[in-house]
Amino acid sequence: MTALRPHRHRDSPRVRRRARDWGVELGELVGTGPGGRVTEEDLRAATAAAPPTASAAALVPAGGIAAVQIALPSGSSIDRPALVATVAVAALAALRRRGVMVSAVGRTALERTAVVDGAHDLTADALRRRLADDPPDAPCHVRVVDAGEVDAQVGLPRPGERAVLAVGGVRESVAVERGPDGMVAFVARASVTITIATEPQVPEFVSAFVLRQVARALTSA
Amino acid sequence: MAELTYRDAVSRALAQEMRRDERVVLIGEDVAGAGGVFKTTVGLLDEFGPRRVVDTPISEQAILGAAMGAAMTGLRPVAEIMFSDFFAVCWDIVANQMAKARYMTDGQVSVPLVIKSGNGGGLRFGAQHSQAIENWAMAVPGLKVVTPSTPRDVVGLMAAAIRSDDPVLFFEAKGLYPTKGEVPDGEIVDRLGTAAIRRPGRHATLVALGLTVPRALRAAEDLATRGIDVEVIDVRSLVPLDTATILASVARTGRFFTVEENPRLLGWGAELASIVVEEAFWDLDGPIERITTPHVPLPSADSLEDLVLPSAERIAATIEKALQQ
Repeated sequence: MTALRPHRHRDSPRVRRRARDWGVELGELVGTGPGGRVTEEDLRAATAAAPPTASAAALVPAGGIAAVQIALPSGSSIDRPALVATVAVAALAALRRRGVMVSAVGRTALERTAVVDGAHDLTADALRRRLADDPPDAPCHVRVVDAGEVDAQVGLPRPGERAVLAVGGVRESVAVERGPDGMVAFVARASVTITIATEPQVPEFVSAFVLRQVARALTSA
Repeated sequence: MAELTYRDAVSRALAQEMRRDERVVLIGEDVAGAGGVFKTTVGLLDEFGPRRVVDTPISEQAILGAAMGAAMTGLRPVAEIMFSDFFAVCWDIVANQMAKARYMTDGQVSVPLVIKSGNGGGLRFGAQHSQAIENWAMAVPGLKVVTPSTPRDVVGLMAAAIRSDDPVLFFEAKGLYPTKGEVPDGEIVDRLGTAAIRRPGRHATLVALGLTVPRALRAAEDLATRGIDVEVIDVRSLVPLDTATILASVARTGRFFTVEENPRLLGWGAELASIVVEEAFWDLDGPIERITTPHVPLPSADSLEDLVLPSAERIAATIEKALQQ
């Protein structure tokens, strides 16, 4: 096993996120930044040496449909409305961060669409509160579909929409895990599949970024 | 296109709106015959007459009381509080009445007025005539808070403020009154709640307001000679606030700095820092730093005032040191 350098979270949030996205173990790197911190360049060098395993980016064709299966934290009890709202908030924040202006976001249970006006001016908390309300219907740029038990299936964006995100049902499966003491255990694992379909003008890195943000929001819930 | 001073841009903006809408009136101490203590209302009495450009006694409460009544009964007044320090004697009418009228009347009454005011330091006016108080104002829900940094923005943002159906506190950076800039011909109307990227950069985001914008730009130019590429954003409007532009910039650069004229405690940059931490934590590549005036009454001595206000040199030194740590 590689000797890990003592890791006291001196690396910046940005670098820690990149490391997670690119599948790099920070403790295995020698940082070249001030105080021995790992920099983005260090990460790039590390990923150039060993390309990261399949990420959301690899799954996303430009202007197409892409899906990720997200393992939910064990013991999580996310109810459907909270799950859909979390996806909506994460997707909106991600689009905003990538400079895609979003004037509204949808929260649907198939036929029901809720729209938040001026969503790009709201903080994530404010948006969550607004999503909990039931504002009137109006055209929206991102629709979030609760695909429920039928699993993540999604149509293409309608005119005026930039993307559609479908939240599948939570599936549980049984897995075998070996603990640190060598004991084998059967564990239940919950996962959910999120699908994104974008209009052709949305670049694939934006779709990939949205899916990563959604995955992060769900796994840290 | 004409080159105007910041102070002349104020009267240009008021004239533009007063020609367009006869409901726009100007009221304040020495705004008529004297053309304003800072000469920001020169020529308006001649063009629009004493019924629309009204001198008042030295009573800030009377100025704002009259303006609020006028706004409630159909006019769109611009009231001047000569020095923003004097808001301290006006807060009941500003915070309890103007900001709340829409809410206390179930939406039946709106207060479409602008309070323009000379704000901030740099002119050796001492502790009671030099305060930057935009952070007082943005603490009151129901008020919009705007500070332009260029003559063009003075015109565009003043027009937007006058056309707002809710009260707007329009802070003119006193230290910028003599500065010049190009102002396009014709009507200029801006949009409140939009920040402007004054200089794109890759290594850090520096957010400034009013007086600190040109200082931030000078610091950025200085840092560029040492290979540090700073993006300078002019907030322009604290309420409403353009979080999208700021957060997108932080996502690109990974570092966030504010440069504020207001004293440090609870300055506007603290609110922005809070938003950035909440919304863009995982984009940050190092600690946020605020460059502010310290928490002291502004000194009147030249050397001390220069020492406490954020200078281009202090801005550059702070950012350079932070990026090396």
